[in-house]
Amino acid sequence: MTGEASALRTTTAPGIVATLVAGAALLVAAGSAVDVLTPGPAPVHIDGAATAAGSVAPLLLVAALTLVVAGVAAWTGRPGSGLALIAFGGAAALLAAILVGSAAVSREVRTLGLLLAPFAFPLLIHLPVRALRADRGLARFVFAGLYLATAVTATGHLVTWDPYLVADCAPMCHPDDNVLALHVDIPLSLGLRSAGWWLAVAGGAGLAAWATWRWTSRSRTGWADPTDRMVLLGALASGLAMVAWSWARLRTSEFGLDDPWASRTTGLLAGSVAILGAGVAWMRFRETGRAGAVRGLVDLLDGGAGSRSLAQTLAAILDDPTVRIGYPLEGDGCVDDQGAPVATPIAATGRAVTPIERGGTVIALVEHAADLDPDLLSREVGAAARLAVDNERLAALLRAQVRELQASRERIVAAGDAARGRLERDLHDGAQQRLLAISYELRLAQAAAHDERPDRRAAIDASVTEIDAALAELRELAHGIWPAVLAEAGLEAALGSLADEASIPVTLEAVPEERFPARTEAAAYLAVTEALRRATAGGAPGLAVRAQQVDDRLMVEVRAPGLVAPGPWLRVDDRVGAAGGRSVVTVDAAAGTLLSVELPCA
Amino acid sequence: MRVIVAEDVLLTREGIVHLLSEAGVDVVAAVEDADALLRETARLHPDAVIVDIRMPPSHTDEGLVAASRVRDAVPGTAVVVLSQYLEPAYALRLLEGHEDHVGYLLKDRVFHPAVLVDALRRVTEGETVVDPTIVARIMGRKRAHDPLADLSVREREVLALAAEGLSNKAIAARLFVTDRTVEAHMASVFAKLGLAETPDAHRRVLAVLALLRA
Repeated sequence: MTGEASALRTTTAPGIVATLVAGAALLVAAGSAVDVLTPGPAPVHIDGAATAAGSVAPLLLVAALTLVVAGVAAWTGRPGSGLALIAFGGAAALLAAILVGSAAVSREVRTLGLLLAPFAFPLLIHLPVRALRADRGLARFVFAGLYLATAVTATGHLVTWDPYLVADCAPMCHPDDNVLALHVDIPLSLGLRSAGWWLAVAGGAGLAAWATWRWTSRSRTGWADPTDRMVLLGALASGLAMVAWSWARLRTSEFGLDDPWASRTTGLLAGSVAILGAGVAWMRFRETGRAGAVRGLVDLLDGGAGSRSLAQTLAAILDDPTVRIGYPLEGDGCVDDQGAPVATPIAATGRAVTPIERGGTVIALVEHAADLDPDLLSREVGAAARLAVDNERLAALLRAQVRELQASRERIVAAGDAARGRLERDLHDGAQQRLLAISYELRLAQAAAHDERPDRRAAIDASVTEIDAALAELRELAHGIWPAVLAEAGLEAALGSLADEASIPVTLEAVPEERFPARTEAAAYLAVTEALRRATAGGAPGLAVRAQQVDDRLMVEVRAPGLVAPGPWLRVDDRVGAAGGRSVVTVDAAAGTLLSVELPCA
Repeated sequence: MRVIVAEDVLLTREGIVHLLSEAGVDVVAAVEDADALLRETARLHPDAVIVDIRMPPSHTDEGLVAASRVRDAVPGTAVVVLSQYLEPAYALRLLEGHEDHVGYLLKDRVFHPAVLVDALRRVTEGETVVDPTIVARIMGRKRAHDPLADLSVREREVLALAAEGLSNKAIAARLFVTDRTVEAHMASVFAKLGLAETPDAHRRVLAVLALLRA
């Protein structure tokens, strides 16, 4: 199915154009290769505007060939892509520059070379920007302007140019070299040529500046793709080389053609473009590989037990460790594959977000490096893979609900504990303090009442006794509501206190002195109090408690020999479950009841 | 006897001050939090401080912390902690943190002037005081194999008073018997419980409490 789709895309209009351009570029490449490689008359300098071929022609040929490779790489990834057209066009322009200086071809071909060679600049500037998908918005107009200005200066120069009439060209030029010299006007022609060079200076400087900015701003976001780096390096070098090349020629027009910088800068430019072309080729071949991997995503996702999540799989096949997946919830927000809430993926600097849809619904948001082909995921993730992703989403949503339920359970228990703790404190700090104050007043009255009638003294004495009893009861009551000692001194002290007041023997065989999370301590304490309550009610002769930490779990065993009453231990189950633990009750006619509780220690 | 009272509730604080003054104790300062207690102790060097276990900010165990800080800042100052907590764990924490000169009383004792003044006198003399209710609670604990089962009624009484921090002499006075009788009971009790006998009352309290809580 994907094969048919790419076959269809091949037959679209840009595809035909690109095929033609590629074919032309290859033909020209073959021709110039023959020219450069066959021994014969030394190539002749005809026009400095486009070239200083000769000794650097093999370098230019190499640069053109890397561009052809880059074009082929872009083409195989996406037949007819704009990047492929630009790369092939750049190759053609470089080869045209070689032809301009070749005596081995006809003057018509040389004229065509003169026309095409100046387009090397806008195309080479456009190439890296396009490769990194940065030619959007305003940049489109900049490039349109650049192409238009190049077209105007190049054709204008050609129409008004006759090499034979210019002093510095006369020794090696032929009178009818330029077949398009329709309206010869040498001053205008030279002016247009200089304008073209200045355009290249500005464009090259702009490219170098853009590449530097992009490099540093991407470095700040933390992760940088090596192919991005190579393309940016090539772009920086090419931009600077363009400036040098054009600057050398702007000088040459004053000081003569034999300036050694003319050929040196051409070599520099050719080398830089080779780096750039190689970078773009590498980047595009890798993207093609990624697209294939994404197409085969479903095989990776359906690995059965232990298979990696979509996020891990995409990070691996896209070679982008920062890939993040959010499964959108029905309301706002997103969760990861474990159902944990995550920030909704957003396209921040250097980041992009691709929604993956299924049946018109967004089933996942993939956040990835902005340099990734923006259509790659939506294009290459097949129906079967979408089903797998949707399954992962449904599992994630289910986990999110379980998490939410667990969290709400924890909140309910915590709220209950907090309320009991407050009540205990209010009794201590409120009612008890007031009773103490009354007790104090009564004692003062008692002391002052020695003159009073005996019945009044007896009444005061009785009140003092009553208030002492009330204080004692209040203290016991507050203790029963919430054991303050648990929160302040921990499980060992609280269980010790429980054993002190139990009406059957409670043997604490082992209780760690360490502190554990409050909900773990509370759950363990409640499990023991519940077992004690049942053991007391069931007439068990005693209770044995053993608690120990095993790795990151607190294991509590409560044995109640003689207690054989079955039935659910809902309070313990709820409490322990809310603390993220498990409890098991085993009842045995001979051994009695064993309550085993396992709680998290962190 | 010069005493500082630290208690955050105004009524109770005034009550304690009043009762102690009536009983002839010289209350040199009454403060409402641990910082003020520390400051005044360093300034006035009292014989003893009475500190409520629950004080601002968290109203949990600031009193115990303050007791330790007082003892670190002015060594030798006797400390009586007043507590609402029945749990022996707090008393043990206080006792284990200090050699002697400490007492742990339930707050109700505040308005039994005789008990409070007696406790103050005992801690300033270097003894250890544990509230009888706490000792009774520990002694009354149900045990599968009760080490106290072998003790006679008299021996239990002697043990309880020892756990409250009383010296042999004081126990003898309390029970209207001679010192030698108490010594004999004590030797018997310690032998039955398997404890090494020590003349140091503070260590004796700790040993007994630890045994009974095990």
